[in-house]
Amino acid sequence: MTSRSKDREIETTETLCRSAGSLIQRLPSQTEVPGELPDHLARAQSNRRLARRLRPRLLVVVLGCAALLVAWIALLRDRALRYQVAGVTATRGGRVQTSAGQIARLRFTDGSAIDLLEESSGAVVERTPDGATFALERGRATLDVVHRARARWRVIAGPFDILVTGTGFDLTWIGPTLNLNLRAGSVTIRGGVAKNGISVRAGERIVLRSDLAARTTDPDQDSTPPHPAAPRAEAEAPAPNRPRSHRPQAEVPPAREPAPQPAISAAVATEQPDLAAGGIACATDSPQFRFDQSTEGAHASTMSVLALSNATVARGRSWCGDGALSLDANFDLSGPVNRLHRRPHETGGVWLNLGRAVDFTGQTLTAHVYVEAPADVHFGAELYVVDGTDLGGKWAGGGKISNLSPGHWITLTHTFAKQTPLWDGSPTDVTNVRFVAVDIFSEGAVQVWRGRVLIDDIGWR
Amino acid sequence: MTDRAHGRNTVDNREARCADEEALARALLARAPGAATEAWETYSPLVNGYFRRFLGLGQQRQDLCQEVFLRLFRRIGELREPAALRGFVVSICLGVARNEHRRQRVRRWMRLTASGDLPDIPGAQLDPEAREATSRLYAVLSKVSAKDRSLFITRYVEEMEIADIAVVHGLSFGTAKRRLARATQRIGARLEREPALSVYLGRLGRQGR
Repeated sequence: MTSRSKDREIETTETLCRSAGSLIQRLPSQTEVPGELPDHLARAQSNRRLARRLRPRLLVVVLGCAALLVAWIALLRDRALRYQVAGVTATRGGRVQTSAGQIARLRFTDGSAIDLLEESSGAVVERTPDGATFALERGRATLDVVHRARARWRVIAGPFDILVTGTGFDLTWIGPTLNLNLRAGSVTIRGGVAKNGISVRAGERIVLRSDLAARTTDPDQDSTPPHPAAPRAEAEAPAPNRPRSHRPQAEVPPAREPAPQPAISAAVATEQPDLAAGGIACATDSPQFRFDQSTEGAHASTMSVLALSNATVARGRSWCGDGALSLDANFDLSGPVNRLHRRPHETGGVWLNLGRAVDFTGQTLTAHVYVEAPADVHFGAELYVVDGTDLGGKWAGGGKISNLSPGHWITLTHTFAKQTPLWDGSPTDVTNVRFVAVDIFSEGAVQVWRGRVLIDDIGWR
Repeated sequence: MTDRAHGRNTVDNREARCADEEALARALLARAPGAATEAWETYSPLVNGYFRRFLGLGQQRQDLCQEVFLRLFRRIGELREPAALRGFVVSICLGVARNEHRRQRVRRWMRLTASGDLPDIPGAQLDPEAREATSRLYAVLSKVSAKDRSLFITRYVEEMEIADIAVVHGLSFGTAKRRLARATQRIGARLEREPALSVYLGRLGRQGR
């Protein structure tokens, strides 16, 4: 049927309907004289009037309920934590400020306390029955939050939001740098470069810069929770009781268990010179390995962990001094996995013989890493100390740092406790350490990449 | 009276009526004494007229009319725009008429009337041919859905604009237009299947022109 004939058909139908309508319109119209309003309709009205009479009583009931609600809320508010300030006088609005030599202590009714150290300022911006929110405007603060079942504390420092559930930590916020040293418990930091949150555990220290995002290819770099180092099998010297090399495949650890204490990468300055990028830190640090003149006995791992090779001294770039340890990087995430469920070129490592036994208990090991690679490469890194007489000893890791990006210096640091968990969760002491090592892991979408890894200024104290 | 003067009077009358309706709506909303009686006196002719044209019935109109006003008094709080009181009454009226249409269809299906046919159309003043055509037309309308019948009556009998049809049926403009087109098509097809009626309506249409 053509559209014209269809239109004609519609028109015909409409005409027919109009005629039908006019036929109905021709029905004789009767003069409608309205009668009296029927009684039941009048009663319907009177029922409404009854409702109107009841309305004031209803209003009283509603007002009573509202008053009860207000009283309940007031009671809840009254249950919110209260606090007292000692040391200085808080301004109106709860702002506390200390000058040189002053320390302000905020004591909360749940037993928690915040010490605001000298030349600092902050304020309690919210209180609830379960906790409070403290905004550190600038300076340093020490927090001891009493752990309770429903405790909910927050600390805001610049763009960073620290969620606390019962812990003790020292916090410094001098924009744009946040420095958090966690003594006990755990916290989660959100904001800035940590959009998805960074979990920090007892014994860890984290340094974040709010202006890092401009240079970071993936600002969520620390969002992945730390997971254990993969078992190492590249021991250069045979050892009769090397736990990893004799481990059956089934013992390869699951992704999240056990969780060794991660070292946290420090953020870097947005502009770094090629040489002595560490700047003022170079004047105060005295690392044991500087790599200015030689490789100082550094070796690339050559068994199972093969992505790094050819250790030399590079002169063009350094954290401090005029040289750094350079290793050729050849990462490849494709191909079959080995007996330890890893690909040979998935991870690269470098190790150093200390030449003597060192007790690392309570020592903080620091190393600086620079990766020259395509910008879309992502990698992880981890520090190790090897407790034992050879590389077949116990490899105590500082926790893997994930999702790092190339093109800038990254500081790895970890303080070793008396007992450090191994890959399988069993604890070890670190009193007889003869080797330190750094591993680089390839991650992310770029499966195959080549480049150079620079390592500089490895030291402990 | 000139056309212009007549037009102005019409506009004035409409404005006056709107003002009256708004005042009545406010009185109903305020439950003012006497408002119900005034609403009854103002709108019961309108409501009865709708039922007469919609259902073509005689004896049940008073019951339906009272049903409309009962609903009006109960639901007056839902009236958001006092000036739209007439439309509100019409929409209630159409709702009651649609319910009645459905009831009739069920009764017919259940053979609750003596003959199973619809009651006679009151139309003593019509010529026999027109009475027959009207009777057949209502027979056709009784077989369509309540919604189609309501749309048909408002468009072709009450000659409402589509925008008004949309309002009284609680539809959007587009939906009302679409449903009206479908109702027209369905009812037109049924009318065409009645040869005597379609011939009569065709002749009526030519006379109207």
